[in-house]
Amino acid sequence: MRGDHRWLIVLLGNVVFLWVMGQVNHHLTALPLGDSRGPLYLFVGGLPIAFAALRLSLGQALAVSIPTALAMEAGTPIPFGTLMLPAAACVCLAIGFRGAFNRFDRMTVVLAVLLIYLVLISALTLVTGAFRLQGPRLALDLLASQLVAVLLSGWYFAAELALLRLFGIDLDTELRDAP
Amino acid sequence: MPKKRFLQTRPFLALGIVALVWAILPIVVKSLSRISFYEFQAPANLAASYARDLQTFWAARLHSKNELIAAGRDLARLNAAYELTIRGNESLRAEIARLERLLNLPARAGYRYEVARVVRRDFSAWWQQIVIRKGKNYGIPVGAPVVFTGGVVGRVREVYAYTAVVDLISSPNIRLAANFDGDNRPVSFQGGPSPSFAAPRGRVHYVPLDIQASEAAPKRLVTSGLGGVFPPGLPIGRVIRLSPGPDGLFNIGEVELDERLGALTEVAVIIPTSEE
Repeated sequence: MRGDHRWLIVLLGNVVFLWVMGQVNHHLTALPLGDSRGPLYLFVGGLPIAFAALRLSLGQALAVSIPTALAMEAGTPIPFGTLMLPAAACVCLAIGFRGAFNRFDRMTVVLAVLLIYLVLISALTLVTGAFRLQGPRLALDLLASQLVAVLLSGWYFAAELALLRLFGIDLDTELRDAP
Repeated sequence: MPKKRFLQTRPFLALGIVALVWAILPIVVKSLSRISFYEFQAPANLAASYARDLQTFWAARLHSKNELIAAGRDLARLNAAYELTIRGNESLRAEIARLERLLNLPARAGYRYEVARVVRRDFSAWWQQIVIRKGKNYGIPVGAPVVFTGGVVGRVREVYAYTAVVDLISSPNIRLAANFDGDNRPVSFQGGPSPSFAAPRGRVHYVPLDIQASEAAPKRLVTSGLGGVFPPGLPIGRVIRLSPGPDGLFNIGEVELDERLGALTEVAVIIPTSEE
């Protein structure tokens, strides 16, 4: 990993993605619905964690996912690290079981994204104790977030790979040429 | 083969190390990291907010001269009405000061309003908050109440160099003392739960049994001024449902908050002048 700064490039891509999705959520709060308006929240943390878990080595994946999760929770009322530990756990679990599945298969990516979303959202819900009060809202937000994540996953993975290629790192070629 | 097994366990070993390092990391380091991660992202959010302002400016430039003249005329009428209100308020303030002197009452706390643009709104099921475009640079204190034209917005939770994070009253971690309009008995207001595609909600506790409210005949809930954070009389929302609580001694109820909370673009932070 020494001298290999691909984690920094992926992290940069993640920060931009988080910012864009933050703007989407900002506008979603004012979503007009007939005479009324009401919020719908898209949780965006799963995609960056899924990319790191499925496409990077253990060290690089942790170097990406830990700061990404910390950036997501920096301005929130939850204790710092609440999202980071489940995110690191998802990365380690996915890498630990990489031999058991084809991580380049489209369906695998979708399944990994869905599972990571479930774990992260469950962790946040447990910590905040929101399930008792906000059960239906959480279910709707989770479904909407997962749907958007599945729709965006192909584009997001391609965008991160393209960003890496801009800096001369071709993950697909590296894996094809690997012994 | 043993090498393969080691490779499979290595991620879990790494996870253990990450968890251990995080557990023993001093609080100061964690706090510093939190501030650093927030401040690193703040300029991007501020830039988006300024870009939205620019967009509004250019959108306003597209209005015709006739529309601007009509808007100016409407504003002139509003200004005239406000002038009259200001004069009325001045005479009322003088009357209050005269009565306070007469009755030897302690002076009322003074406030100033710091108007701030909203940089970002976050309305999740876990928390409801906004980020405003003023922070330590404008002397915004932690815990300061935030209001808008529709009433209470929330309370400042964190203050950073150029921004501040405000917990909205629809957030479940907000509690404040309230009154029903025209009734001076205190009740307790708590934010949440906020359903999707509906106006934000809150709950009211410890309501005396003789007070009744329904969707057909809602009751207005205002701040009581108890606790010293929020000035008295600020609108919180409308109580649309009341039912007996589990103890049978008090009613509990549902409060419909202003739906504009989800679309705020500008708020005012109330800063006690004594803090300055």
